[in-house]
Amino acid sequence: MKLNDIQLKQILTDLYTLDAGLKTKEKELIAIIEKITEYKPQVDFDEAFAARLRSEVLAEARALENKKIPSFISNFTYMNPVRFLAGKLKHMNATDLKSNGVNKFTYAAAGAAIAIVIIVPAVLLLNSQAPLAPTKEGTTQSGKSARPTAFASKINKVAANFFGKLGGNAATGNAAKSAGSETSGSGSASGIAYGRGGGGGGGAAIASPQAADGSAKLGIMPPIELKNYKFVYKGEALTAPSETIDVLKRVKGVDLGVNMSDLIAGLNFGLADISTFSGLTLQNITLAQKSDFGYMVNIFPDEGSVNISQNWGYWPMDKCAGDAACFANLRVKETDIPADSDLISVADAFLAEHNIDKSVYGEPEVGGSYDWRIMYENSPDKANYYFPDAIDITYPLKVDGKNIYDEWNGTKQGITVSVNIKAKKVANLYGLTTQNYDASPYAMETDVKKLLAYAEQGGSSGYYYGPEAKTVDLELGDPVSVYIRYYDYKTSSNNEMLIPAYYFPINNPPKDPNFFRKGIVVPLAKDILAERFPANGVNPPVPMPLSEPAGGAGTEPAQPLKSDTPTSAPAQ
Amino acid sequence: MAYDEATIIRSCQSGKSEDFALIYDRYIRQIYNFIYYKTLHKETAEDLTSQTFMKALKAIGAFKTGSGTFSAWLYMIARNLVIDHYRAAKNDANLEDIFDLASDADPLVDTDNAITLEKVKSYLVKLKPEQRELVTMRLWDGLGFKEIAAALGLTEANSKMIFYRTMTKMREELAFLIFCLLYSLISTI
Repeated sequence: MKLNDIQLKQILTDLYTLDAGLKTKEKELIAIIEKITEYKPQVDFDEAFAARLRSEVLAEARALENKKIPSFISNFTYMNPVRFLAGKLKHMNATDLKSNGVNKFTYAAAGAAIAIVIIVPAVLLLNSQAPLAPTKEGTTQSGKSARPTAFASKINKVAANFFGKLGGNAATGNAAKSAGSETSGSGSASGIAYGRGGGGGGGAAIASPQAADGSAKLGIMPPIELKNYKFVYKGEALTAPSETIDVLKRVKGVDLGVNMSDLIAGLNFGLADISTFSGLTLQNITLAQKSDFGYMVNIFPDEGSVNISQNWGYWPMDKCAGDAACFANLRVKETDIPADSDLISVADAFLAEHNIDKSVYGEPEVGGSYDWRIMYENSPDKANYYFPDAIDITYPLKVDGKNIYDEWNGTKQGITVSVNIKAKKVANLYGLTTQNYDASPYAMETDVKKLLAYAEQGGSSGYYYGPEAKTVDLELGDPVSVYIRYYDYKTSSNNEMLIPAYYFPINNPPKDPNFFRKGIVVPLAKDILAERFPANGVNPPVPMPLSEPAGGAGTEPAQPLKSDTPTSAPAQ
Repeated sequence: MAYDEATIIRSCQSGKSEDFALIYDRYIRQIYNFIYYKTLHKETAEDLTSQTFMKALKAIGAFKTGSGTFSAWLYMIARNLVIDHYRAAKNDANLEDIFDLASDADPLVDTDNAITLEKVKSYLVKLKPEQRELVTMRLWDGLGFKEIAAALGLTEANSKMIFYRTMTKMREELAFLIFCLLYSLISTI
C-alpha cells in the first residue's frame, strides 16, 4: 500500500526541516519509506463488527446519560441501589444469557442492556441521599403540573380541580374490584368468606361481581353470632373542614429516557428479533437472588414502586407431602410468635440492611389489616385457631404530617413488611413507592351533620345482617385529619390519589372475630362523599345473604335495601 | 458527518453521551487498524478496540481539550490496552518492545500476515523498539508528530528527532548494504 504524493512529500519535508542535507539523499529516503509502507499488514475490517460495537457504545452512552440523572433526585428516595444490588443481592441474575448462538457481542449488548435496565431505573427509583418528608412547594403560574424529572420529592401545587371530577369509579365496576382486593387477605386468613370489601363500594358497587356469581360463597357464614353495629359519635362538636383542601395525585412513573428499541438494536437471543418491536418501554424488572433465603425484587418504573418477596425455591420448605399429622406438628403455635418488639427489630434490621429510609414513616405497627391477636382473642375456637406463618408490620406513611388510610377497612397505609415466624426473617415487603405528588384544591363537604351521619352509619363499608341480628353500639371518638388512598380507575392511567378525610377512632372495639376495624374513615371531598352518601342522606348498608338464594347460587346479585328504609341500622 | 470535534467532546462531557457516536464513527477504523498492526489478530483487535471506545466513553469527562488532541488521547488508551493485553498474556514480555510482541510464531497471528510480519521484522530489526513504533505510527497509521508524541509520552520535537534519526540510520545502512553489494560484485570481476 503506497503513500500518496502529499503524504510522502509531508514526510520528506519533516525530515528536511531537521536536516536540509537529506535532500540530496531523497531517492534513498523514498525507497526506504516505500519499503516500510509496502510491508504494512493487510487489514480485513469487519463492518458488521463496527456496527455491533456502535450499538453497544450507544447503549452505554445512554446508560451513562441516565446515570447522571440522580443529581436532581437528591431529596426523597428510598434506597441506595448500588449497595442494594451490588451488595446483598450479589447472586441475582436478571436473566440467563447463556443461550445457544449468542456471541460475545450479544453478551456485551445484553450486558449493556441489563446495565441500563437494572441500574437506571434502580437509581431513579431507589437512590437515597437525604430523604425528606414531602412538603408543599413548587406552585406554577399556569397551574399546570410542573412535573419534576424522575422522582423528586415534592408536593407540586397545581390549579383547582386539576384532576377533573373525582369519583365515578362505580360506573366502571372497578370500585368493588378494588375494595375486594384490599380485604381479601382477611377473609382467606380466617377461612371465612366475608366479602365485606366487595360490597362496600357505594351504590353501584353493591352489585359486585362477587355477589353476582358468588352467592354460594357469601352464604357460608361462620357459626357465630351475627351483629349489626351502630356507630355513635361521642366526641366534641365536630368542626367543619375548610371549603377547599388539596387533593393529591401521586406522580407515579418517570421517563427513564431509555428507548428500548435503540437499546436492544442488534440484540437477538435466538428466539425472536426483539428489535423489531417498536416503541418498547420498560414496565417491570424482576431480579432473583439465587441463594439461601433469597429474594425476588420487582421494580415497576411506571408505577414508581418496588416490591420484595421470598424467592420460594431458596427458602426452607416443609416435606409433609399430604401427611396431616406432619402438617399439624409444623403448625405455628402461639408460643412461636415473637413479641411485637422482636418482630419490629427484624423488620427494622431488614430496612437498615437495604438502606430503605424510614424517615417519612411513622412508628411501625404490628398487625396491619389482619391483626392475629384480635382474631385470636375473639376466636370462639382457640384450640383450632390457625396462627399465621408470617406477620405483617406496617410502617405508616405520612404525607404532610397526615396518615394515609384505606377507605374500606380503615387501616393505615405504608410499607408493609411481612416477617416469617419460623425463619425469623423478612419474607416480603411491599408498598414501597415514590412520594411525588401534584396537589389541587377541591371543594370539601362542610355540612358536619352529613359527615357525622356518614360516620355513624359505618362509613362506606357497613353490612346489615337483618333485623334478627343483635345490634351493638360502638363509640366514635374525636376525628383526626387524614388522607384516604383512592384509586381512580376512570381512565387506563389508574391514578392513585390522596383524598382529605376524617378518621373517627372506635373507642370500644367489639370482641368479634369478624370485626377488624379500628376506626371509620369519612372522605371530605364533595365529589367522593356525594357518591358514597346519596343526597337524601341515607347510604344503604349492604345486606348480607345468610342462605342460598332460592334460584340457586349466583343467579341474581345481592340487592341493597331501599334507601328510604329508616330502620336499617348500619352494620359492620 | 462533518462536525467540530471539540464541540462534540464538550457535548459529551456535559452529559450528552450519545454524541460519542460521532466520535466513534470518525475513529473506529483508525483505532482498529492501529491495534491490528500491533496484534495481527482479528478477534484480539476487535476486543481491544471495543475496550478502547468503552473506556474512552467513560473517561471522556477527564479529557482536557487544552492538553492535547483527542485522537492522541484515544491512541494512548488503545496502546495501553495493547500493553495490558500482552502483559496478561506474557508475564515476561518486555513491555517497551510492543512491536516485537506480535511474533510470527504466535498462533494468534493471522496466517495472511505472518509472512508480512517476518519481512517487516527483518527490515526493521536493527531499529530500537521506540523507533519502530514511531515509524509505523507515522507511516502506517498516518499520524502526525503531535499525535504520536502525545500517545507515546514524548514531545513533538523529540518525536520528530527520533523519526529523523531512524530514517537517517536506515538510509546509512541501506547505503552500506549497497556499498557491500557493489564491492562484492567488483571483487568477483
